[in-house]
Amino acid sequence: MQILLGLACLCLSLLAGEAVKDILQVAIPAPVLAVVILVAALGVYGRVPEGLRLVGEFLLRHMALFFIPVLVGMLALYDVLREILAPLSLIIFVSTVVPLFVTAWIFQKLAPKLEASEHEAD
Amino acid sequence: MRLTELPAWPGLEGLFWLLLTLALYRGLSILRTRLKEKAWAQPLIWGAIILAGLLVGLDIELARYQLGGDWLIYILALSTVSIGVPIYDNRHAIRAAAVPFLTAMCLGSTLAAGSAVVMAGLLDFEAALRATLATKSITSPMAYGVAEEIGGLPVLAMGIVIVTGNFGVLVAPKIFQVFGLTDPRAQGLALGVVTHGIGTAEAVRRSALIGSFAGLAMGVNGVLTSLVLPFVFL
Repeated sequence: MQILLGLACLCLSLLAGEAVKDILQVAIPAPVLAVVILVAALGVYGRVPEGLRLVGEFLLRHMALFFIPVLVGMLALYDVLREILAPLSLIIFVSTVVPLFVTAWIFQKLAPKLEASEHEAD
Repeated sequence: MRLTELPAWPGLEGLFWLLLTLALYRGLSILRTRLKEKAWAQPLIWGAIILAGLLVGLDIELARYQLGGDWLIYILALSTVSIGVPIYDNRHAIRAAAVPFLTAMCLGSTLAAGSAVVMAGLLDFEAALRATLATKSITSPMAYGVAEEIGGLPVLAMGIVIVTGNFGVLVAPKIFQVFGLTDPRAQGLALGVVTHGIGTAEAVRRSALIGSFAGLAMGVNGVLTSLVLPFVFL
């Protein structure tokens, strides 16, 4: 029963996301709007319902499984991919390595200062 | 993710492919545990390679696999919404480090998508491919929807995000080590922003703190980028 309730929470968020998208006519995917709505709803409710936690953690832990058919589906793009494989690999290489370093570096530079100011506030 | 249509009944063949996908995922997950959680032993990548190899080798049409495989893709939308749970759980952690978190996240995310789009422009990629690459900083189920909205190729967008995630997970430990990036929050943040779901799953295995920052970064970054990109590209 709890699991059903958890699924209902997720479906309801998705439904609300679709509704907001339709009403506001925005070019934002419904699942994205649904995340915003779910976080807001949890904030109002004050805690995560047991069933939602069960279902949510299961789905997040096994997300890789749901991606397998997506990757297999890339077979359909074989012709497109074959032409751009080398440049695409280069792009992925650079745009992965550089941001990994930069993101971690900036946070590490900035974060200790914030902790210090927090400490003072306490 | 054709969310507005009913899925076709998978039938005998579709159910076979669905079960084979589940069995491969389970088997490869066990194998990864045996291999002491090596980063290259991703059930996702190897599962997809084995299945694609079978389809090509036995000359089976992709559509016949998708009769079963599509069912798993429908669940992806629900997994995406689930990201709301860790975001809510870690709301205090993000509030405490909000400024460095958002600064590093926005710069990292812009750099990841921007460098890909600029390089694609220099290498003469067509517009649809450039729009597709712009989504590479968003977790894949969201990337699918965004690519659709801004005129990219949704399936390719998800594929690129997944490949980026796997590659990022392989190289991240080296990068962190070489540049002395030891703050677990910084590592989690970078993994979440650049390598998304796959990096986050990996981060959770390393520590709860890295994992929570990664999950948060993936979620917040995915939402913010999805909100911004349609305005940049339309």
